[in-house]
Amino acid sequence: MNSAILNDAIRVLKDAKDKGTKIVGIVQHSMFPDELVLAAGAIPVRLILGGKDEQEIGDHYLSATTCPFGRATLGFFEKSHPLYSFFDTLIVGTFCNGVQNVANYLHYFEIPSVSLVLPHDRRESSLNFYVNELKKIQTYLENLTGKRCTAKGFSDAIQSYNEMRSLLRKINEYRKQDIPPISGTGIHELVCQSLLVGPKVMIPKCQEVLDTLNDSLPQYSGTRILLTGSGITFGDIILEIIEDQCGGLIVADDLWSSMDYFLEDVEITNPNPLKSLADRYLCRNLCGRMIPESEIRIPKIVELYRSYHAKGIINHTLKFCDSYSSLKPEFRKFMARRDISVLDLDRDYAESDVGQLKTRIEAFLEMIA
Amino acid sequence: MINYQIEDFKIQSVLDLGIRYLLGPIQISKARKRGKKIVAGFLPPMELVFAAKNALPLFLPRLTEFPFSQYIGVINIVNRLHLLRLLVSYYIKNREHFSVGYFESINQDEFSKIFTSLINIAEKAEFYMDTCVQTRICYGAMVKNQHLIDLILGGLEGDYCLHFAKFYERMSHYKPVFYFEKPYGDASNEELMDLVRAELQRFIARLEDLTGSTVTDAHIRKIAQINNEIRGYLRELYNYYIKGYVPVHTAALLLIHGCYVDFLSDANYFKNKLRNLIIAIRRKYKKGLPNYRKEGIYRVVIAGSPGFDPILPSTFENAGAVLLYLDVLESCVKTPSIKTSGDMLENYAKYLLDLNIKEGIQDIIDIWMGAAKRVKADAILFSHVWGCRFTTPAYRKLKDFVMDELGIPIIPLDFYSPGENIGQVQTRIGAFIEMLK
Repeated sequence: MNSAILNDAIRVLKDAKDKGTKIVGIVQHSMFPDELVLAAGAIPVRLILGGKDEQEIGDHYLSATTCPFGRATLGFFEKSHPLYSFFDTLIVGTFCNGVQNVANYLHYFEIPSVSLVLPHDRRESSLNFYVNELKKIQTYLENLTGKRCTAKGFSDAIQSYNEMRSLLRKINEYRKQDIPPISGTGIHELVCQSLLVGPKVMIPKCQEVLDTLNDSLPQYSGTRILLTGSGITFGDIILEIIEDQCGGLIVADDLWSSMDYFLEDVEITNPNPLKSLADRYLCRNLCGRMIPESEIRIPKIVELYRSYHAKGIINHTLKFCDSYSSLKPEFRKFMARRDISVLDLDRDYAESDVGQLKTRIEAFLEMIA
Repeated sequence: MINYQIEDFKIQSVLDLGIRYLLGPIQISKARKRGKKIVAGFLPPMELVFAAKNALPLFLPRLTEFPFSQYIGVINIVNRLHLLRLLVSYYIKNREHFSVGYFESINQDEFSKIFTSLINIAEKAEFYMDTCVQTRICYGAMVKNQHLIDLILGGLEGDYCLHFAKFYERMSHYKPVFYFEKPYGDASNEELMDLVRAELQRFIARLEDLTGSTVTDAHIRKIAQINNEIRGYLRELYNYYIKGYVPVHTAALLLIHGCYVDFLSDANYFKNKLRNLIIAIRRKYKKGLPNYRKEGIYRVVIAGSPGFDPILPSTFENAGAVLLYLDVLESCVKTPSIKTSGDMLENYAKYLLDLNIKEGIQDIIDIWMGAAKRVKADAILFSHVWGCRFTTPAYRKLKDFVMDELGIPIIPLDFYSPGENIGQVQTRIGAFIEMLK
């Protein structure tokens, strides 16, 4: 794990907290607009940590057949991890069972929370429902911060996130090169930073990275793969295993902790900002939790696979992550019909199976190279 | 002394319900030959299927073929002649003369095997096996009987359990699936009411399209009235448990729950049998139904995911206790009846939201706690179903509530598949009941 990123985030959040700014933790992996928190005058922080020890602590609360992320998150709270000690409130909700399970036990840590209820489809009635849910969260946040969300506040927040996303997309474009100057791990770290500290810190940082990339010589080579499945938490060793130890190069993905975060912008001209946010976060996300997956996610994966010149797909799932585990055979068959090779990986944060993972990844990369 | 579960099957209506449940595959095949469309899923809003003239709802596990399926036609005739009840009575009276407890052996071993066979079918079809036993069984039943199914209705469960939602999506690779969206919340949320109304309209349009018949307000009213009557009988049944009686034991209680899911694909039949059951229980009550609370027979409420090994009821009975599965009965008490005057779509939408989960697992914990409080349970057994993402993780939370508010013992019991670790289960339950004593 790049601990400098984490330490920087902790410092930024501490400074903000010392100045009286409210810090809002977001347990939902995606489908929640961070812009709303910023417009309400608070700082949004996505919960992005996962770990072996914390997962074990989480077993005291949740059964072992719940997702490792949910268990680890409770573990981090119990350990009073510095990053998780700033929250004035948490946004929870019905993204998945893992997120719901975290919410069920927050009272043990005396952290207030508010729930964002999410539909599974993108029909008009669901969109209206979602907009109403955002209104509910807006009111909650306004009460928390004592500030009203104004039209200008929304506009500024959306613009700054769009700008940050735009820069991330520009950086990401370099991954299309035969020998790109940035790796999948590099993009993932930038997104994790964005999830922790937001556009104010990240716009100049991304600009700096972009300038460096413009000047730099190609650095990364390896067998090109697209990574899909469960989100990768910050510091997860799976990226290191694929890229550093097995000779793979992640050139594209659809992860909430990577490309799904920045591929789509929020429409700025709509007079109702909540509708714009709903359109982006409900109707244009790549989440596997949505039904049916074939509507947006699967075609997008094929499109990314082709445009980023990948040679195979690693479908990585955390054990008991239903968004991505349930339809693995169908996913594999769908891709096989298009002559796309898929490697299924299923794991948790325990590191006992690292050797086996490496063997399987190496064999797959050799096969598709 | 505790009554054996088998004694409940001396009640004609319990026998009728049991036989009709077992006749599931035959009933559905015949209905389909008559041109009926079969909509598989769970209640609610499955009962709406009855509002379409040519359609029947079906709870997938009802397609399970039991080991004595080849005899079920004969058994049905014997039952219709009211002879089966006499045979059961004869068996009970002379059970010591039988070399083995035939009925018990069916209960314990054969039931385990049939469900395991469905699980094996699911596994062969590459189903995601790191999941609860209920979905593994239902998926196996669907794969095996897909030729009998016209439409799958997915909904309620998918709102709280993402695995269930994806389970329905997976089924869509075999058969058409209608996914009914109904996020958490209640009728005070106008947008949610709008959403549920829109979903109902969409579902009704789908039913009309499937069956070629029109679903009218009057049709919905009729099924709503039947539903209200059924739930009224269940409330009355529950009252006996609340007073300390056990009008029917675990097996019959589970049977009623199983029948409730799809009203046995015949709402009037189910309603009439429940009415007969209530009449029979009233008679027994007048004659002097034993009160378990007064007799000191331990009444253990089962909480957790609705799945446990078929041997569990008799294990409790042998240990001198009775296991009570009361989820639906408690839900009937908590949820008001469907309003049957005015706009039925509106009324039904409101009913769905009355039933709906508002806050997540806490709603379900309230059901378990409510049941345990109402019947003054001596203990709670938590069915710790392996792979369940929604209720099983609530164990610690429930345990803390039970300790704080009820002060009665609670025991978790792991369950992966029927027939596994039977010896361990029996030892554990035996020790638990001993501790209660």
